[in-house]
Amino acid sequence: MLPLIKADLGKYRIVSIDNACPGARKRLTLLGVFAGDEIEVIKSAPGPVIFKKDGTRIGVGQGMADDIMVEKSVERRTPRP
Amino acid sequence: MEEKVVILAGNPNTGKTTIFNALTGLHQRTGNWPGVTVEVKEGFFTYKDIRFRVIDLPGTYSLTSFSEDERIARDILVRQKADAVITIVDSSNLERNLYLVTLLLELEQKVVIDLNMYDIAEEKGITVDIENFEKILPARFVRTVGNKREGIDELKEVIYETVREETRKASRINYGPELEGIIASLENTVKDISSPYPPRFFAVRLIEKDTDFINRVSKTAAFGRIKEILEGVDAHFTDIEDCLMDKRYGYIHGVTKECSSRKDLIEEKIELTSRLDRIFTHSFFGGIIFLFFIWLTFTIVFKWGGPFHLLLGKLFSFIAVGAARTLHLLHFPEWSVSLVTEGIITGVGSVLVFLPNIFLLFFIFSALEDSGYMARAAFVTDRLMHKIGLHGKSAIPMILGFGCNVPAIMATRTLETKKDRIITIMALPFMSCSARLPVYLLFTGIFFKKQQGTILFSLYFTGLIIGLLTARLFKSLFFREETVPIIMELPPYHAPDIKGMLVSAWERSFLFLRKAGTMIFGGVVIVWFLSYFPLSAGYATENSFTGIIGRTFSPVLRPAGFGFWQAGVALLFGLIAKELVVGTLATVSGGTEPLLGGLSRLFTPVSAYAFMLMTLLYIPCLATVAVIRQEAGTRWAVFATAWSLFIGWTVAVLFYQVFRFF
Repeated sequence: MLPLIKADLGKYRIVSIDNACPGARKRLTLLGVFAGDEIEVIKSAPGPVIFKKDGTRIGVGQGMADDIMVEKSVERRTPRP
Repeated sequence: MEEKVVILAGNPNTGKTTIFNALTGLHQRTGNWPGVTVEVKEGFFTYKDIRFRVIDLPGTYSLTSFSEDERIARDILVRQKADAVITIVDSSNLERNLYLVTLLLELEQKVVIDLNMYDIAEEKGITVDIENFEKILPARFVRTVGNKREGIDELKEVIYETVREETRKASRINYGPELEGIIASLENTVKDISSPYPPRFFAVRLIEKDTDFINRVSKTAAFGRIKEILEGVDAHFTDIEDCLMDKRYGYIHGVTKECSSRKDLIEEKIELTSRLDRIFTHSFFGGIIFLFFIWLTFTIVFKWGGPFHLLLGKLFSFIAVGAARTLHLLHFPEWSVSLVTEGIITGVGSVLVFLPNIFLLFFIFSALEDSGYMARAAFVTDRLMHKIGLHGKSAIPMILGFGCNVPAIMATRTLETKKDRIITIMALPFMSCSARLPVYLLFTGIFFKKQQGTILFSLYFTGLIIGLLTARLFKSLFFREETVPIIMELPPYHAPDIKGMLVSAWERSFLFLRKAGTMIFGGVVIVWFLSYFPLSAGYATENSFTGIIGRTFSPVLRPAGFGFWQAGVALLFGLIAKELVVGTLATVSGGTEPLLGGLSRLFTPVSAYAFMLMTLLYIPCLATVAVIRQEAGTRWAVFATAWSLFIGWTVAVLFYQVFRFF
């Protein structure tokens, strides 16, 4: 498990967004980003991190990227719990 | 013909505008929504025997009081009593897009769901079972590809059928027994409070502690009871908002899973957008590219706008001369000739000459927006802006402020929170707009011939620093809460559509023209009046009313080194538009030649610089104050005026008092 800010390009699974402040968590939810989601990092830190989820690109600032915990995705798609 | 009202809602970046254009063609106008401060577009189309009025809401993800746009969208939805609400949905991203639908259903709207960009979804292996969807959700579904105009006729047909439906079976999300009990008792409590919202929607918003709704009930007799219920909620749930959102998402997730399928895709190629993002938001090159774009914007606005600007200036003096001649020939009284030429044409004209610059500014603005770059720029500036207490997105209006403060203040509408908007608006008047440039050019031309460039740069820089410091100060004084970190959806890049850019630039310029025009017109007539009377004094002399007013200001301006009435009048006239500072000084001197001689006698280099500082910082022009009032309210407009006057005077006096000894 690693913070999104440390992630390289490639596929990851979001483990937790609980570290983020409530406002940020709400914003992520409205953009359809949840713990358990499969994402693809298309631009890594330093600077903002941009990832793709269901074809939508979502950018987060560095501070925010530090609060999102991800893990490297296994090849097979795991269904959402 | 019968008229029905339909509202277009939907997330940002779903092709909503494309659908709006496809439905209404050129029959659109930018309506001014009473009570709210957002441009809301309206359009019309006729289908069969019904004329449809289409209202295009700002793109939102939700309908809470989270951002200004969402509040406005909700407000329009309940006040307009639409005959149908069309939700434009990105077919590739059903779950997130359908979240908004759950709220629309709670608002008891008749919903049509437009599965837009269906071709892209199909390419991605997504299929949607519309019949099944319609069985579960009380909504009609249509597939469209907006940019290819596919499915628009079907959409019209479904809208037609929907508005003719009498009622539709209600659907509700089940929030679970515990919450449903709370909702029921709240519904019971609020049902006697008069409100345009359905009781259930009202109750759920209260549970979410939506401030707008809490304020609505806080003065009613039922407030005690409501508070009691809400305290009960707090005792049970740690984060009730999260919990409600989860329930809605859970519901949508279930429905979507049942009604659509998604094949696993073959590995996608690395798209152009991803490549561009790696460059444009790069921690080093991103900043350089950003600066390049700013430089380019300035170059285009000033260099390309310059010739048109001069041409319009010549046109207005030509019109003024022609009008004077004609009016004299027709034996109009002297005062009316003066009012029309020296007052209205010169005054209004001095603002209208900036139309080419403003048009170009908006043209580039829409190009940057349309292409998708603007969203990236917000990320590039985020770190710096965050330190000051501003949001990354604030950078864009601030850059625009160097062109003209008025459109820049309007551009703050893209910011998500009222707090960010207000802080940005308060900082904006200090960005040195193009109207201040003539003043700098006149004075540096006389006093700082050799260091003109450096002096100009120092003024722009001073404005920027004071603006940022103002933002920092106001943030810590009035808005304690943390700035929400930047999280934004990034639309794919695409080549901007020239026609769309022209239309958008024209629309915004026209709004500027209309608002600034009416303001300037009124102001000019008043100032002319004050300058013309009393008749014995002569137009704009020491003993005319303006001269007298100028003299009353002189003692206050003396510590800054320009305690003579001409400076007082010039600054007073400058309130209307800052370029009038130059015009006034010229008028009271009696022409260009005496102006140059007069100024070099009246000012020293130090007091001239102090005067430029004053012009830069003191009260923003009338048009800016008016637009601050429109966007942020009277209180903030008064405050911005008082604050900038204080800062302008203080800085000018400090500068003069320190440097006059060197």
